[in-house]
Amino acid sequence: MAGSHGKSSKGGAVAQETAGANLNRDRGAAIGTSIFFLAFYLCTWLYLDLQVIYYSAGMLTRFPVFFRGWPFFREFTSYPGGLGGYVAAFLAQLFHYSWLAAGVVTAQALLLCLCTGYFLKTLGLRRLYFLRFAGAIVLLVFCSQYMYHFAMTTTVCIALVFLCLYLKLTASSDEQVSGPARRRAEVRAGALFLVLSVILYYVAGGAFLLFAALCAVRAARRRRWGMATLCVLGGALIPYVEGVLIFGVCPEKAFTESLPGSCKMDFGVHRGAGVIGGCVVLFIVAAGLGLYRLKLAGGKAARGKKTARRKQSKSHGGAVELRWIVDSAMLFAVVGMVALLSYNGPRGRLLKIHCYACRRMWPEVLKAAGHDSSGYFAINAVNQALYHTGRLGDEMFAYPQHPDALLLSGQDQVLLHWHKFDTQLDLGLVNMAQKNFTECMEVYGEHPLILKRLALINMVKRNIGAAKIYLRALSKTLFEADWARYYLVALDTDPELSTDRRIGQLRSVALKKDHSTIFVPAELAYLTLLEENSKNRMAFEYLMTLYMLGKQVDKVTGSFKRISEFGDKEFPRHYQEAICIYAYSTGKPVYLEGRTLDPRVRKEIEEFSGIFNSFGKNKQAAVGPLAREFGGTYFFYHLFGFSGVEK
Amino acid sequence: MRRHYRYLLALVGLLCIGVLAYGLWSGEKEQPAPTGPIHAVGRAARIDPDYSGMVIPPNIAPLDFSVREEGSGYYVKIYSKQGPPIEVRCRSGRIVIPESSWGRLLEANRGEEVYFDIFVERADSAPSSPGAEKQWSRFDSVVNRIAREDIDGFLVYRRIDPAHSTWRNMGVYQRNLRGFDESIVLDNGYFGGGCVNCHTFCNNRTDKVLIGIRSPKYGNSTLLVDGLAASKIDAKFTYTSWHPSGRLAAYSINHVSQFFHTAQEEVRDVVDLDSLLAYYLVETGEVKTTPAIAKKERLETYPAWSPDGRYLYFCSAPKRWTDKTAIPDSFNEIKYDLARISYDLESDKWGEVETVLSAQETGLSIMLPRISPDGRWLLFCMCDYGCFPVYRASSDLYMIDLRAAEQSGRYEYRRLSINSNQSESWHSFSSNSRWIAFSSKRKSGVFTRTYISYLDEEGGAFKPLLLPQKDPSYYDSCLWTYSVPELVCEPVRVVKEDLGRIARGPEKASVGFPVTMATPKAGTSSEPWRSNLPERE
Repeated sequence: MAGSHGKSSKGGAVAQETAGANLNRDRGAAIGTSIFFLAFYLCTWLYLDLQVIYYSAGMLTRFPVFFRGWPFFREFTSYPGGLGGYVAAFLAQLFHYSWLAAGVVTAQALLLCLCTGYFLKTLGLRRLYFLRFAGAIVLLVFCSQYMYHFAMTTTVCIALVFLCLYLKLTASSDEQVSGPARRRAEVRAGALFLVLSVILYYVAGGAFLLFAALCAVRAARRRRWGMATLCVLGGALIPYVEGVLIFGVCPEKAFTESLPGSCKMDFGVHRGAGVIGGCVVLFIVAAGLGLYRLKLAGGKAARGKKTARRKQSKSHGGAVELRWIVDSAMLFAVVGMVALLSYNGPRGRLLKIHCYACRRMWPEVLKAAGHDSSGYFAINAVNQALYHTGRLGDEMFAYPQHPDALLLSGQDQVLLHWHKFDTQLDLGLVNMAQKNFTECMEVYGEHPLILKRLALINMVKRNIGAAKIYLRALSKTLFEADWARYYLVALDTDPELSTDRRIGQLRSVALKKDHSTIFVPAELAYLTLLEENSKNRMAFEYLMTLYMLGKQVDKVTGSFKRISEFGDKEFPRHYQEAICIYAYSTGKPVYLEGRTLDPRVRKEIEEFSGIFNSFGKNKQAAVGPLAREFGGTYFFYHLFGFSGVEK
Repeated sequence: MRRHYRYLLALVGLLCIGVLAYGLWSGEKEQPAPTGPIHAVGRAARIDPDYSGMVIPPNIAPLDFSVREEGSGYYVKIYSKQGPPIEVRCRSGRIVIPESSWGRLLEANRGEEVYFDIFVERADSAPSSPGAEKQWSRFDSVVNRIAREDIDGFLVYRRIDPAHSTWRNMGVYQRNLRGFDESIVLDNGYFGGGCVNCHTFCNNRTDKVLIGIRSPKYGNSTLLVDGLAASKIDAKFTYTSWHPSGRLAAYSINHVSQFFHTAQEEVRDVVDLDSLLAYYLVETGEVKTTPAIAKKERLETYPAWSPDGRYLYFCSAPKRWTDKTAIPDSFNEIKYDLARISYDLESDKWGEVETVLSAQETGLSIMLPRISPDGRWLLFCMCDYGCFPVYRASSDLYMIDLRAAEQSGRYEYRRLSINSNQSESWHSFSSNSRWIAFSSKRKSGVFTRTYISYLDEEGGAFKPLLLPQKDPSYYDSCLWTYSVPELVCEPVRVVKEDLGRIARGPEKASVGFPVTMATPKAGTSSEPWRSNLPERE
């Protein structure tokens, strides 16, 4: 008795010690998880700046729209997966603010982590516990790639929450090992599975399949084959019965709604994404296995020193601490690698340019673009930013330029980066902007930013009826509603909006004379705009830019006289350079509208010519030295046909 | 375990309470009927949509509307000669009329007037104290007349975006006019995106239907519904008209080119660089034409059979260019005449083309002829130029009394009083010839909506009724465009899944065609993302 008592007291001490170790481990895991998600949040907020997804301008397809009110909600109730889609659409709007976007993504990642962890725990797979971070890491990959799969990840989260609920509610049935009690428990579990399945399928659509599959895995692991069969059958039949027969959804949609492969999901946005994603998953698995092995090794070592550790609890605590540090370091290394490997810098940069251009944050556009963004859209945005900051005629050749990028008309039928159509609106090509934005709405949905532009265009055109429809739709959005309400009130009090400066400015430059054409050539467009309103400064500067980009210095010189319309004495540097080239090459005098040529420009052209001549007019040989000295000048562009070569 | 279930039960209970509380909080609270002294305003209340002074079908859905008068309580009494009145009370001014009571009221009062008495509760006009007394005001009754004749029970239309060149989301829908149920006939999601457009019915029934589709993936084709069966024809019919016998359908083939206006209210415009008429024989699956309706020097389009099947009416304009790739400079001088040609079904013989109404006479371009099923009224559009009235704000509805023309030998036309200063187009008759449904941009100039107008025995058209919606403010923020409204007596019975399967399927009846096609062949679009041809509303 005494012996047994002594044994039991020894066993109790061991159990107490194990419990203590578990508690330590859990506490350690909790601290690790907290640090992980804090880092996750900071990374997605400050480093990835996820608000650019909201302003993605077609780079991310299927970014959902969201309107307040029952009618919009009701649309989502008519098909399985609709409610999940509604939640996702709502949460997606929070990407309007970077900190909120990061919060939403982090919360989703945390939810995935907790649910996965709980599932692994109930399966008794504590050694695979590290896999709970897999979902968060995949989310991080999506974010680093600037991809949008929020609808899918939301429904997966919902499915996992249902899974946890199911596991929690059926936890006691696992304790029944045999007999009628076990049968009853199984029947209850089966009934619960069916009830939750029906609800979940309605809420999350195809993501229900994940729930059914994981329930089947759990039942199989517990050797509850009847239950496992029920889960598999349920997974196959519930979408058909509920989706096809009750909701009348076509079979393809019934099984794939809100999953990759459904017609609403687009995974083809970025071709490299799949490959990178695959690599990342492999990396996670490899790292996980590494961790697992490390743990095993640690476990063996620990077992070997079991007795010693029992005696020396302090050193045991130290080992746990060390393991925790190693685990955490490994985890952060994995995540860091994933974030680095999957980060799509060029895409992020383009999204940032668009985001700032949409918000008319011109200095930020220039900063984001840098001096080496050579895509048409980036050039277009940079020129717009330079114009609005009054630097187009002075600094444009410090950035890459291309004649075709100055005015992107939509003629190529590329509606991507739809912010480029703001240039048309600012110039006064209101109808062209309307045409393009209306088509954008068709392609990308009723995004608040598109609605806002269409409302503005219709107000400029005095289409009050149409403007009000766009404004009322906009007033149901989350973040543009105030703007819409302001204009709805303004239209009621003064339908002409005669005191609104922006509207007035746009009306003053808007084309008034109708031309019927498929697309207006840029030069004709600028000339017509100037013919109607000679004070349309943007049209003038864009015309001069067009001529400079086309190396038509005679036309630059010829059109220079229009500068007198603006009543200032500005004489942009690149105009001076173009006029210098014209004067030097033709030997003709140029009337400078009361302005004087900067002696530095005169000196520069002479130096430029000197260097070029010193290389025997060999362009290839001279390009390096000239780029170093005159890379940001029109002289350089005129000779070599490219720019953006910094001094 | 039991404890868990209790938690679950508690959760469900809480959820129910929450829903109930929200319903009570957000729902329309029961308002008492007006009591005390009632102030007579002496004018009618402003309501939106403006459902007043109209003739309404006895089988139309409730005319839900919003009262645009300031107030804290609203009471509307709807009544006619027979039956109990309907009372609607609310705090928001959103008047939603119960469907069943409304249906009974209309049914019991055919030919009678229906009254909406509108009362608004507002603070006393002399706000001497913060707690000013509230008083009910009564506005003049809104009066509408219930027609004796039913309108066809269903309306089939296209619901598309205001721009529709990329075909992201479009479809043909049907609406049960007795209520608000809308269902898909076919949308482009069923064939991987593309255009689903012209839908044509035979004699206002749905046992013979043609639906044109253009799909980058599956090519251009026409779906034929014949009874409960459907099949695919390997040809794209543009504007189509069923012969009343149901044995053939005349259609146009149009080489459409789109262009834009830099400063007009409507940005888009189209021109048919070439077009002709052909006809499809259902039994043999043949496509034929005759030189009289496929002249090289003329543009023939918009076929419409007379109800007796003896004449094919169509529009025709001279073609003054040879280049089929460029927009002609004279695009704004293209004006179509209205013509007709006789046809004998049994012998498949065509007569001579005769001009019904010339553009020279009207000074306008004549489009979209439709003849009432009783054969008396010829309804058409006229606009300043061109072939596409929905893009022309000048497009109005006009009518010719064919019976009078037969007697006098002259086709006298008149402009209907229901027109607005925006485009009116896409009209169709009900099977009893008493109702027309048409598209109009009258409220915004951009978004096309469906209107219904009563036509009396003398061809007088009454103030049109905007197709009612359950949510009275639906159109306020509706970004859809509704066009090509076709009235039919019954719903389309072939389900969308079947139509989609046929649209996707490889089986299609090929048609031999004897003359040069005006439009490209199916599947020849060089750019799968967008069609070469512009889509038209």
